[in-house]
Amino acid sequence: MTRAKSPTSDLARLRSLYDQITEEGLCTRPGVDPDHWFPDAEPAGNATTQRRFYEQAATARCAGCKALAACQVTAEVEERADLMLHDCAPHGIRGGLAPWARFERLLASNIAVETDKEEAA
Amino acid sequence: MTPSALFGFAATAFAYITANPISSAVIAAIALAVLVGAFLGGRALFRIGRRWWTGRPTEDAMTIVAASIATGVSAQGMWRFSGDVLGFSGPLQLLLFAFIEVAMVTSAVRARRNMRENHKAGVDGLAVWALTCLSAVLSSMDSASFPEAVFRLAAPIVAAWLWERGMAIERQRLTGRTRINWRMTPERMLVRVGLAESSDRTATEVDTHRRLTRVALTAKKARALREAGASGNKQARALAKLDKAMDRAVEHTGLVQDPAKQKRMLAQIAALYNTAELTKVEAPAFWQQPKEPSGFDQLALETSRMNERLEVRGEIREARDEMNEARTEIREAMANLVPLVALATGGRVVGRSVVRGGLGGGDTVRGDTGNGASGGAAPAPKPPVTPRVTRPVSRAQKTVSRKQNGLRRGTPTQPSREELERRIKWLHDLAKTNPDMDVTDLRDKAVEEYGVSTRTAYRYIEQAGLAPSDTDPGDTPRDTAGDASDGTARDTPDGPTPGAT
Repeated sequence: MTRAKSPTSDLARLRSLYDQITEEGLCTRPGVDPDHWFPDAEPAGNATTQRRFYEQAATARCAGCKALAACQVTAEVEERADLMLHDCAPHGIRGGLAPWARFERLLASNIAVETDKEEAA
Repeated sequence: MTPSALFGFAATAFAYITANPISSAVIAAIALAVLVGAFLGGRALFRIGRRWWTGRPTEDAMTIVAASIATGVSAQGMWRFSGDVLGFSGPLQLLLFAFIEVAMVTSAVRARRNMRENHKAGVDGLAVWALTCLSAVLSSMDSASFPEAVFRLAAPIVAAWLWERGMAIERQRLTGRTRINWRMTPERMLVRVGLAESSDRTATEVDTHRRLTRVALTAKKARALREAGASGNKQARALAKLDKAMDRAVEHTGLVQDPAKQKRMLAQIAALYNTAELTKVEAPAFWQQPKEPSGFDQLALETSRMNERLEVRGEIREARDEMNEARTEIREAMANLVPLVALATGGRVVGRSVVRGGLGGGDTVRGDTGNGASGGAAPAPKPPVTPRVTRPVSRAQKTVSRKQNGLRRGTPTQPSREELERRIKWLHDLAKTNPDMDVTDLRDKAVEEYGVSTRTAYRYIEQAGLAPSDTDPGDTPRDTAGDASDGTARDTPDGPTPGAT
């Protein structure tokens, strides 16, 4: 099975995504509080209600952002590298997603990649 | 022009000039003036254009130029129309042929102004298109062939389109919105080619920076507390905060893996630790030339320093003398006191000490320990008591600044400058309307009116120019009781008050 080429395979493209985020992102407008996107602490795993609130806040913060897709892609790339190289879990709101949601996505995609490799082998 | 024709022209001109020199001189002067005027006008136009050009993208200017050309083409169509259909000729045609084009450009300018002021083109934006269509239809109806008709139709529409686009640039600049979201902006092209780099940071980078800064700040706080010798609790709390900030930085910023981030954080901490050095930075103003102090200046400096030293020395000597005097006084007083104490306790005087109950040992009341020799009979002198030194407790400097007077409890707000001026003017007017009032009356009025202290009231009166500001000690008004009819204490000035009379 052949997978489509990853959209972030070339660096220039990734850079243009970053440019889009800095130009159009709601979180990069002047005067916004970075604490809204990267709060000091995130709710723990068993605080389900607080997690739900957090997710609602995340979707609300990023609603209508033009750079949402770019943000999700860059977040995935960065956080995958962080996770694999430094064992750093995602944190903060990116692409309208809570960190645990992104973490699950990463795990899922990682599993997909690994199964691909197994199939190819 | 062939050389012979040129020669012929020159010969004719020469003949004309020799025939009537005065009129030719006038013509030459006028021609010169026209030339100079054209040069000046061209230069002014160039300057205006350059000023307009700076800070605008190329497409702005291109739009204006292209729109002018298209308008010219459509105006040419109207020239034909006015000549062929309307039968205008000569100056009348020159004056009237382009009225629709002029109206169109005027409407475009008005629409642009509307855009600037109301963020909408309004009716003028519509008028541009209406006039354009009118001009296009009229000039195409006069054309001889089908291709010409199409061309005549197209030219004004192109012009209108370009004017409209020029306005769109304005709109975009004003509202920050674009109708189309271009994926290929020049900036992006440059970024993609690698010639430019986007200077802005994403929220993640901002967050990283903040976390590192937080670590530096908490480290600074902890250090300040330790150096100030704050209580253990405070220090522990600060250290816990530092620990937490560091944890977060490590967890979320990849501080451990990234040497650049480590370096940045250390630089921040170093900068924060050495804030005190900022007070020692000597930045001479640009008008001050850095100059070596001359020998005379150095001498003067040394002399003043020596004088200071001598003064301090003299003060120390005086203080020492005073201390000695006080000591002798105390000694005398004690000497007088000892027999009294002996009388009271029924003891006997041994030298300068009193031995209670006639016993050899026991407690003694020592009169003098100035030289340590307190009578040979006194047994077992106590070891000299070292005075207990209480060191001043050094505290951490308060980080909060002093509150303003109005915000501090119990202190009235200082009146603003305007209010102060108003009060002074009021006093001035009062003194003018009631010339028989003296300073004390004015003071009482001010106290009544504004609820200030008498001292402040005097200050107001001084500033109003109603009393001498530099009063000698004898001149100051004094309170004397029972001066007023109602028995309250009132002030009587010692001398005449020049301003109040």
